[in-house]
Amino acid sequence: MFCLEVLAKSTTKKLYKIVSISGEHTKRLGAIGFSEDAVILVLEKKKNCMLVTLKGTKFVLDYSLAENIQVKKL
Amino acid sequence: MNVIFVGNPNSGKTTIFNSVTKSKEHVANWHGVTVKVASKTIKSKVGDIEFFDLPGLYSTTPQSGEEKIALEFLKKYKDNSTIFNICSYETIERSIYLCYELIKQGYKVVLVINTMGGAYSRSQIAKIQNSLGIDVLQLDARKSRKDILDYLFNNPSKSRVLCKAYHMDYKGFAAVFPIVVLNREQKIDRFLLHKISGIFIFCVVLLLIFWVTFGPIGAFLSELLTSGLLKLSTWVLNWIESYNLFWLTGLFDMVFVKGLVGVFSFLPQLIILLSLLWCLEEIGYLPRIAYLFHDFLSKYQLSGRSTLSLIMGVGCTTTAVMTARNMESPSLRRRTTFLLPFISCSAKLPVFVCISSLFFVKYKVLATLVLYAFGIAVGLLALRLMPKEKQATPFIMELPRLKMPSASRVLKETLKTTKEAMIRIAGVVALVSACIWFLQNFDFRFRYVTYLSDSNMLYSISRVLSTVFVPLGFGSWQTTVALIMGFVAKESVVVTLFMLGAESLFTLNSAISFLIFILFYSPCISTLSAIRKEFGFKRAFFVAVYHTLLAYAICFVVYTFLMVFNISVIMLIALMFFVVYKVVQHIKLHRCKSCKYCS
Repeated sequence: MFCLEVLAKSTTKKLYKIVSISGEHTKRLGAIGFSEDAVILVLEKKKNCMLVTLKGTKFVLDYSLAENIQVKKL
Repeated sequence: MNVIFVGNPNSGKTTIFNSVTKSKEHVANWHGVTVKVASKTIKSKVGDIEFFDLPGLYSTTPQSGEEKIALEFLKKYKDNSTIFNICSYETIERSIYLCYELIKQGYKVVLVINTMGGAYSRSQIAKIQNSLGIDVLQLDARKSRKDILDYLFNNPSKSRVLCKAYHMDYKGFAAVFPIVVLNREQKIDRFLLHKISGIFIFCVVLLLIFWVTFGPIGAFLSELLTSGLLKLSTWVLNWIESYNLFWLTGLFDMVFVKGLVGVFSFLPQLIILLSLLWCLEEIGYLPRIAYLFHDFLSKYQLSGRSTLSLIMGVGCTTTAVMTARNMESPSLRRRTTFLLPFISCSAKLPVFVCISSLFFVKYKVLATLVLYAFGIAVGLLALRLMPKEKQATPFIMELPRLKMPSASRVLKETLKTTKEAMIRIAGVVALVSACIWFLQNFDFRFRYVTYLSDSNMLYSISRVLSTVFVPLGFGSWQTTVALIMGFVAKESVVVTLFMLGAESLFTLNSAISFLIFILFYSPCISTLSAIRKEFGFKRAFFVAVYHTLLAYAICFVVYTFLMVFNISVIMLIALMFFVVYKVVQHIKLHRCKSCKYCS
């Protein structure tokens, strides 16, 4: 299990399953669909943010948020 | 009876509200368009029904300003209203989270699935309805009036009954909804959001918009309209003159010919610009620009979210200041609002185009573009010099689906915005023109004098003030009047200049200096009042003084430089951007990393 930020930056693997979410923004992330077992597809990576698809919707996600999302490779 | 439309951002709430109440609230294909509660009452056979359209909500845990407004409103009307939770079919999987939370908190909720992007079958809807025990409507947001009203008439408000969904956990609740799989726009987005092709497409789009608006098409339509209006005004002037009403001739000439014709000559260009911007909004391209520029803006402690407000600033700074309300972080709001007055609004455009066409005949479009770019460059530099603030909220943004723009909606919204803008502008210009005519034709004892007389009020007042602008190269009383009028509304600058015949007083150097002053000096009163409303009087006062002093300083340096070294315009442009670049580099290299400005 790794945090999404590390995995998305370091590997070419693009599909991840959320294991858990921590930190002060858990509720916020949960409200827009970032919940346990949800599958994330990383589309693009930039210096400060990344583009992911979750449940059919595209989101721009800051790395400071991505570090709170623990994922495993699929 | 109270009816509240609530739901995730960009789910179609305002479209439904507009359809049901026959209103014309602003809708667009990106989140955070609605920032305040809209309401309208309609009379019906069951009595008056008051409809409310709330800003978008993701959950009942508010983060941004508009979410707090929506939730406070919901709590206030909890016991005596029917809540329609609007969910978009395309994003149903995450939209229903809010519905779940509302049911859990005891709200009487009707789930409305907006089918603008696809629909469930009837049997699927019946299954969802039975499983959850709440009413589910499936409708097209654009034609929802009949369905919503039918529902309200056939289901009169009754006491809240706990439904099956109240006893479910979220996993069970979400499992009731069949999963929607849509994969249409992936390929287009690969180009639009790519770091190289994305920026290239953005530049092409921007240049195309400028070329169509100010190039041959816009210019031809503008000339056509102006010549028509001038013919009409000449005919009316001749008719008035035949009655020997010389003062009425002067007033008509000032208000209609010099004032309103000047403003209406920009009408075709305004329509083209607005319709193209509306097309981009409809397609869903604006949030993609936000993603493209997030990295760049992060360097200035802004975020991609600021891009939307900054683009709105090209239209009207006042509206842009208000849209900044949907930002979660106060520091981000402050910084975005600080940058907004540096972005030239559409009201400054006529000044740039008119003066550029006098001095840079062939290169007027280029000159206008350079002014826009210089404004943004100085704004970013000023932002760099501001103390850094702690970013409270990280950036997260939903990208809406790409859609084909609806020609009828683009046309409708363009005409609506143009009409509103022209009524406002024409009103201001007519009033300003009449005031100038009065001040120009009467002395302090209210005796009628000719406008060429030295004793008229306008000349006397502005002659005193104009000495301040002598070091900047435009110390004539006519330009001073134009600048004062510009403080009231920027639209009136160009009209005043032409009414007083100030354009002939400019030299190339003083025209450049004047254009730069217009670019940077204090925003208009309506923008300042919007800033006061959002941040308080001190901030609004600071913005007015800061921008005027900054404009004065830059103009003084530029004009002195032009006069002393007598350099060409191209050299000047290169030099201005070089100075901005060098200052930014200097800041980068000499950071102490310990004070609040550098850490």
